[in-house]
Amino acid sequence: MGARDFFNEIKVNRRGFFKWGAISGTAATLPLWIQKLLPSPIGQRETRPQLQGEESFVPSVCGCCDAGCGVLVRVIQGHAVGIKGNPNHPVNQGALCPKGFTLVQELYHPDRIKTPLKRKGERGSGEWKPISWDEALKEISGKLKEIRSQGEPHSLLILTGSASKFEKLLIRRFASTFGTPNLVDLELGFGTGMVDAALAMMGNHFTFDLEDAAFIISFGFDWLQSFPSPVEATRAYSLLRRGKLDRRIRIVHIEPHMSVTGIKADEWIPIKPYTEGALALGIAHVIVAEGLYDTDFIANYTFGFEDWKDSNGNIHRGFKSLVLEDYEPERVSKFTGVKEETIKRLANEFAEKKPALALADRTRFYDQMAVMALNALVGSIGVRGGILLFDEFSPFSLPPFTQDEVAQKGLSKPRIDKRDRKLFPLADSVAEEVPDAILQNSPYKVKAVILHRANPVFISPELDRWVEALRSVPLVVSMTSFMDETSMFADIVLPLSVTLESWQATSTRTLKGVPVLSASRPVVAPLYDTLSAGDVFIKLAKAIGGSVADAFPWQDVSEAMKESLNGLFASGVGEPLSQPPEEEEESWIEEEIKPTLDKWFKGITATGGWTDRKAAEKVPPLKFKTPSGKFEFYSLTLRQRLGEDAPDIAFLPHVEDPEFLGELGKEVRLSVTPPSGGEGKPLHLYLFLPLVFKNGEGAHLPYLQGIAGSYLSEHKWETWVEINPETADELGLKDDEFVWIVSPIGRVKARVKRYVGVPKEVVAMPLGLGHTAYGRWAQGVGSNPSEIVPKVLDKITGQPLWQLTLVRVAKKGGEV
Amino acid sequence: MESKGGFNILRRKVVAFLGALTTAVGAFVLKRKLAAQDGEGKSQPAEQTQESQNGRVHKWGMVIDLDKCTGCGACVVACAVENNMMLGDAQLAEQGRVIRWMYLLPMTEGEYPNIKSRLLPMLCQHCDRPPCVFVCPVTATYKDSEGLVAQVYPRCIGCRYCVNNCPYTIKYFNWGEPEFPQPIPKGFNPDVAVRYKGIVEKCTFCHHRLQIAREKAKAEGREFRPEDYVPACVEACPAKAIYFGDLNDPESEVSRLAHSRRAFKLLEELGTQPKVIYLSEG
Repeated sequence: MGARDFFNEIKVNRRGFFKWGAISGTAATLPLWIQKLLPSPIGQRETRPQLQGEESFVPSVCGCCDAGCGVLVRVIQGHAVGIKGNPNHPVNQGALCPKGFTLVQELYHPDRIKTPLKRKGERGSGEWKPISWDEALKEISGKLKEIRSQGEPHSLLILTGSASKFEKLLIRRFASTFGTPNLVDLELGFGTGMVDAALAMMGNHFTFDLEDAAFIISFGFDWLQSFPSPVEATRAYSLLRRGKLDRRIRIVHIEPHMSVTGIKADEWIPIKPYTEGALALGIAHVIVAEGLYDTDFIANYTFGFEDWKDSNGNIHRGFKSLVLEDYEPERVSKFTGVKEETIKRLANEFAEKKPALALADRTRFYDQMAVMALNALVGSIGVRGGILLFDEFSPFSLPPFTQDEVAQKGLSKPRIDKRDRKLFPLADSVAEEVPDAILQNSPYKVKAVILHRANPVFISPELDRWVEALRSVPLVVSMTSFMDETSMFADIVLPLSVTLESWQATSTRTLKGVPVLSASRPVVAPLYDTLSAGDVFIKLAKAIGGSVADAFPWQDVSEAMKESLNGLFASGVGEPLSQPPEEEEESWIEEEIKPTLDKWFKGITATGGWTDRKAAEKVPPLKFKTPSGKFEFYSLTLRQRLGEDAPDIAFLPHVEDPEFLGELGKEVRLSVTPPSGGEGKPLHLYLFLPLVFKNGEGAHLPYLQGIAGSYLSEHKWETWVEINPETADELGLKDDEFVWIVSPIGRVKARVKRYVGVPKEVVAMPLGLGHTAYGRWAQGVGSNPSEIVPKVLDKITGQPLWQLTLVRVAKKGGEV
Repeated sequence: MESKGGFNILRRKVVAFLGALTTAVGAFVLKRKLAAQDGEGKSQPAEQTQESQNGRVHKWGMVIDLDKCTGCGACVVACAVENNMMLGDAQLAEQGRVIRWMYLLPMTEGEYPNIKSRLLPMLCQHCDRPPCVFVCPVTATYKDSEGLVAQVYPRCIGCRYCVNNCPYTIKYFNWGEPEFPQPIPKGFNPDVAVRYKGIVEKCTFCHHRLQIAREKAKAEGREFRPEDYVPACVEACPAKAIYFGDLNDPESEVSRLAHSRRAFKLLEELGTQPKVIYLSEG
């Protein structure tokens, strides 16, 4: 009878009970480390990470949007184990938006690309073989050198999606010294504000001083979820509600669905998509008709309010006569669905409460213009609580470089995105023309594409054009940290280090106008064989040689970053975000009293950046960078670009929709064809981009899923369609059932959410899900509405017009 | 055989002794459990029940100002990152099994277009009369001397009685093993235990941060200050809508705000005495 038999005799009797009771009881009193060795359920299961050591909080920069919020990363034994906002950063002041908190999850993400990859199978097959950086750069630079030697540097196309201000500078430099004019920006317009109208009517950048406004009316601009930065917008909202208890202001939000801003506003006004401009002009009509406008401001600081005569004696229409003649409340009410009394009430409120702020998103150009005009009408420009004319804060500049003959020839060629002064007069880039240009080899063949954190195969109208276009280009290189659907079509994938592994530098202004440079060092060493984008371009340039290499003399990106800030350093203004750490300060004292660029840069990156808190103490003067030097209701900038023979109406805010014009028989400039499948009357599809999926990123991070749409249900990972309950009843739809949303070019699956926050003739869907790659938590989750949006571009800005699609709903399993 | 008989007797004595020991331990545990049901946990080590400056024990509470909150969700993600929260996936989300200690509860009422909608940050209310504590058969959940309702993972047997009893449904059961593909565990917060299949978890008011704040004060040779203890959600909020502090201190901000005319508590009529106070809009 031995120990083994002792344990093997499991009998269900009193002896057995005592035996096993004793064993378990004793086991529970053993130390934890012994318990872990015992088989479960006798042993313990609780696990605790085993890090020991002193913690330090290392500053970094979020980088998810242009605001560059400052973060402090908790580091223990070289591991990033926590994150919070940097209290000294003027933009976020210690807080962060949901995206900022996921930087640690991004760093330790299991789906990160760990080495450079070369395509093994067909494009898009997903078969890769790992290669070294040397091999990758050799192959790429070899092909690029070949392109140059053939005298065709312009056949290189560089597409950038997300890029910091500093990175943009480096990439621009590379394109320029290489000799290609084809540097195209793919950043989505959602949440970026009425920047095109600002360019056309003021010629300036601007900030909108939310915190001190007396009345805020937003037209389709979900400003609580907008950039930059949503943290600042939220803080401003908080101050507006509880910071000024003596005067609680009203916030009105007008949008085709009740977004987060709609929920938090005092009044949400439903409206049909792309009718916001008409509403703004209807409000302008009332303000002008009743003489409620700011006569002083209009007389002294604006042009084009009254009809005007040009040097040839021709009379041109002004804003006043335009709104009085064409935008009476009755007509506007019929078109927008907003009651006449509401239009009159809003107009009176907007004119009475000063300063009143009217905001729009980067929507259709003339709609932006109409909303911007409202601000001028009541004199909300150049005053606290209104539109402030702060210039863009751009502290980065690098020394001049040479463009050799080959480069100069290339740069003289036209861009492939058809961006020129006549075609898309206000566009910086017309990304959506690129795939068509590639497929048509027009104006010339594209031989190589470099994508930098760009994913056009995900959110673009008529996605297939991009797939076909990329398939047809001989060399496709994608610089990215995660295998997204666009990178699947690359020949070579160059893995980028993530935010916490890289040197960061970007610049912004707070809404109050305070300039901020966010700059930081890597928090942890790169986990894998990755490089930051700046380092890639430096190495690539060096490998290409000649004048291209000469333009990139630095050893690594931090050197380039330091040199680019020499101008800011030399100006002597401002201060680091906080006191540089002790060791650095000591050696500061040891050396000369005047710090060197080196020391200054060290101090800046040790604290997370630089700012000049006094710079925004005064409101900028009312100097507009327009041809007239004034705010232009009638945009002379546009007139210069489109040509004087274009009609007056092209330079004024107006509504072109055939429905509004009552000219349905005439040539339709905006085509909106109803779909053939599905049931019931056609509905307007309204698309929006939740904060957590900004620029099409974020779905790969599990902590961000379930946050979008929190106003509808809890933690769901899905794409939904918001349908007004009455409409849902008409169509016989129950909550949570799956349906097809059918457009003229395709259909997409969505989950029904009966929502009172959407008008009867509208269905609203979020963009951001429906990935076909991009990691295990993104792939196959939700569906992608951009697949069913036809390509229609705004002819002034070149931006895709997302809200023109009419759809029908079809039950799943039913006929389509 | 003589030795065999002797061994048998010895074996019997050993087993009897161990059995008695186990019974004694069990009785002790039962006694403590009964004590905990009164709401007084005597299970805290001495140094964790310090007295505040005016001789009173701290009572930690939270105030959430819904007028300032914009429903951005920063608190949700900050809590998840701080507390090594399970990741989740689409299927689990469909089943309602993705655990988030802090989440936004939507509340919409009214007829189109006159709609009133709210986003309510929802978390454990750390009740003074916690329904979850009353029903736990093994004292895996208890209320400590400072009012925090705690969860002891190794003690939990996964019966889910507490999950059922909580009227706020903020206790969460791990139906499956939370998966953390490598190298995600490298980024775990070392101060917080990682949960596993079969146990219940919930918001702890970032109790680990309280412990750290106390240890820091001791290390720096000073007294612990209530403002040193800041849960992750409080720190994260861009609207500064979440306040946290000592409800036993009449001068504290949470005490002051708790008496605001806008203050209300959820399901107050059930008598749970929650220590999360909401301030309504307007």
